[in-house]
Amino acid sequence: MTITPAQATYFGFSGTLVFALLLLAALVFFTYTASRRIQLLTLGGAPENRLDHPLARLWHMVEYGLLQRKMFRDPYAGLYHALIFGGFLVLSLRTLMLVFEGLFPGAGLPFLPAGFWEGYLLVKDLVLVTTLAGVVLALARRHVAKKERLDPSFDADLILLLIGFLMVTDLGAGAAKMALDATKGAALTGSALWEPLTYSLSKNLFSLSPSSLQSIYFGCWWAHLAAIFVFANYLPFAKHFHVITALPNLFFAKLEPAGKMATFDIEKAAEVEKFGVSKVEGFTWKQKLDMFTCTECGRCREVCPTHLTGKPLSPKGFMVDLRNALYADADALIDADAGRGDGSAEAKLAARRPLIGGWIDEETIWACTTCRYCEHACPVGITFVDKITDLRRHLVLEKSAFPKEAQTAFNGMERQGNPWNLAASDRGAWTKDLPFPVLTMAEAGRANVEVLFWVGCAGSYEERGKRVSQALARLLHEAGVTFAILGSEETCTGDAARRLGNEYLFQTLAQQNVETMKGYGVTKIVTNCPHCFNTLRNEYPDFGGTFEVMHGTELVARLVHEGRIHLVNGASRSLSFHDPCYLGRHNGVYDAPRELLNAIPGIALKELPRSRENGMCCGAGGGRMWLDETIGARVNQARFAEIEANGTDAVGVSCPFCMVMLGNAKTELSGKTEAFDVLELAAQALPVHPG
Amino acid sequence: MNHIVCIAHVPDTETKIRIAAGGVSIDEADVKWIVSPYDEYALEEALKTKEAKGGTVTAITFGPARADTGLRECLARGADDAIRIASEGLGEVDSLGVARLLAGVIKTLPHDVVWMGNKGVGTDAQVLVPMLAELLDLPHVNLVTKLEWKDGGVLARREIEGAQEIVEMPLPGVIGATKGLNEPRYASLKGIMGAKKKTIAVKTPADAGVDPATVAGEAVHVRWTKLELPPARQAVKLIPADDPAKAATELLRLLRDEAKVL
Repeated sequence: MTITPAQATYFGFSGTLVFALLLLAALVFFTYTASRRIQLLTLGGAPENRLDHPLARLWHMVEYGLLQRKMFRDPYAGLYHALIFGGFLVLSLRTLMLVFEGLFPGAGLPFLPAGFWEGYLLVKDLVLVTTLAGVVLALARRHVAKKERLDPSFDADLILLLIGFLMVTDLGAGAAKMALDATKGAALTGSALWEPLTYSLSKNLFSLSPSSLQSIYFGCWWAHLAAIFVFANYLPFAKHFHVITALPNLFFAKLEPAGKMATFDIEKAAEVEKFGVSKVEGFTWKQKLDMFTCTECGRCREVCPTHLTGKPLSPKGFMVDLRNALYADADALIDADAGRGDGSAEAKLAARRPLIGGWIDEETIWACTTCRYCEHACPVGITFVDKITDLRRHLVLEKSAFPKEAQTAFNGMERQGNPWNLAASDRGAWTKDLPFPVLTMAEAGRANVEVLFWVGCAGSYEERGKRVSQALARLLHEAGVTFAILGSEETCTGDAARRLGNEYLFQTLAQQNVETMKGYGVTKIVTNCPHCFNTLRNEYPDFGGTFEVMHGTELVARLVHEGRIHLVNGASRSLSFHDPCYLGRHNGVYDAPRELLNAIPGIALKELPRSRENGMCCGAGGGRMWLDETIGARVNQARFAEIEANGTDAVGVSCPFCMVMLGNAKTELSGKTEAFDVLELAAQALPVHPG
Repeated sequence: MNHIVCIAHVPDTETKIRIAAGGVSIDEADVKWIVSPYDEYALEEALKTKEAKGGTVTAITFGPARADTGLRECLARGADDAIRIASEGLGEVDSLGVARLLAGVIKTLPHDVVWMGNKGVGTDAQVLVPMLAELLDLPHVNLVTKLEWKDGGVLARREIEGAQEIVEMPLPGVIGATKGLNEPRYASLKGIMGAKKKTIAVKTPADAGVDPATVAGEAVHVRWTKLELPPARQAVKLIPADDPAKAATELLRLLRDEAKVL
């Protein structure tokens, strides 16, 4: 009978002992690294509860982790990743088997029925080869069929080769052992059936001498296990840490609405005079887990509107810079946190490269439009916008350092309740041209109002926005919906202030608006501004304002569906539809505007190549509406070029900021495709009532 | 160096002004009050100088209790102290009266530079800078758009009609700031929270050594007799520019027949 490698003796030491020592060393080192990484996660940042709704979390992990839901958007990468990932899942049991064999030679894994193994061996045999194929395909993507999103990486090549090595040594050990058994007269019929690939490989080895075969067998066996130990211990230092952290990162993912920013207690923060994040350890443990988990696949970068227009922000670069900043001073951070040592850790931290201005440029921080395309693209649930806005919070609230243009918008929001700096008393002036009166809540009285029409700043002051507000008012009037506005009692929701980092201004406005609406007993709100929509729906509950919030297109589509509005007139035109980020990706409203468009006679909707979840930003989100765009190409022009290429007569939008940005791009580029709000198109289709 | 910055608390420049009943004052309901934008330039320059050279910045105003929010804004941006000379009970006070009250308090404080905007945007008459300098017996330079610090004085560039004037002024002195001098900062939240903890010293005319009878009542030289809003702007008439020749003809016709300016 063939002895196993662990049963042999090496320089007088039993193989089992050697193996046990190796295993122990690997485990000790891994435990040490892991505990350091966990310490690094938990030190410094604010606490964060990510254990609520465990079942939803588990499903999220299964859906995006085990079932790889996002990976196949790039079919080629999805395939090789699935091959390798499947290999890991299947072969982890194999590894356990081998470890058991090393410790208890001759005994099988005790806890599984005997019949199980034969089937498993068959699967394992196939998976060894498919994993190897995955490695080859991955190397080909890196070196032959290159993608812009991937950067040359020694780390990646090393890890891939190591995985390949693991497969080859496993196969080698199995085949050599089989051949060795054969030389000793053992029947291989079972093996031929259950390990066909290993068997066919072993046949090529039959001509070798038993001692050579034993050398190959033992060599491969030890090399395989040693490589596993090296691999596991190398992961936490490499970009492939995601092998360990991706599933937990998906489990702990944000379950709250995607568009909701974290609220912090200003009074409490003021006690320690810390607002936002200025040092990398100040991020929460989950934010740091994101940094650990980034595998630099670049799916975020290839879709980022600011990266694509030549700005210094690339989500991948940003995440890697954060991680590098965290790792660069990991030891000093851990020592300083534990309060041990002679103060040299503190001294080192005091002299370290600053996060803002050192690792991350301020320009990078301000470039983000918070469109969340990167987060949609990331297969492992990393979020970027929260980190950008945390840094902005520090810059605005502590340093008062932000692009000068934002100050005008802040002052306007603070003083007149709108970033345009127009008189608060004129907020309701857009209603004057309508043929019917639009009452304020104060005039109408709460009992007579079905729904509050939240007009928003753009809808109140911006020329085109006012026409869209009139369109919604006409549609509601036509349907017989009793609605009212707040008039000069409405102020900016604070969306742009919050996303520009001015949490104080945002909270002031939010509290004021919630108080006003609660005073009138408001329960239902309709608004046509996706930014107001997101803030009212997802962020005001933190300030005691829980309302049923509908987007204009949602309500009007419903009214059409219920037969309360008949759309009869329509010019025949082909139309693209541009999804606003804050309606689409942030809130998942994709169908309502399309349903409404399809209900308008004459409109032929032709989807843009990048639409719905993949819609590209107009460049105005995240407060960028109020900042100059001086670096690279302009985002609005890039998007407008895509729209022009779609060749439709017009483009439908559902956001006043998209309207402004695309309208500007049309002028700047002398383009043809005019933008219409979906509600304008619907209102144009209303029947004409004589008199 | 001790900086005193005089500020006016005035309606936000975007406010739609309404005239109150009686016709001599504005309706203050719904008015958002701000630090006069010109005083903001003065404050900013004082703060920048303090940050570069050390010293203290004291903001001072004459006004009712609501003006405290303006002073808090100054504290939030970095002023060390704030003083309000209470206007309650005095009735109408004209610019000379305000200058007397401000000068009275400033005399009780150490001061190297007294700052303010060249104008408020409220009811002032753009005369406070010279008046205050005269009452303090100090030199002044007004409408300053650029400032350099020299030993014992400043070199100021000021706007005069059609040209710029460079003025050398010894200190102590009074400086009137105007647009172009700097970009006023935005208060950090740290500053705002810090300002909430500070106390604003409230002074009476007596603290300023001023007899109310010399600034109010009969002593008022300038009185409002009537306020009127400017006429509403006429709607803009747009001439389509599809055909430039036609458009020009139409423009001429409108200027001659309707506007009657030709």
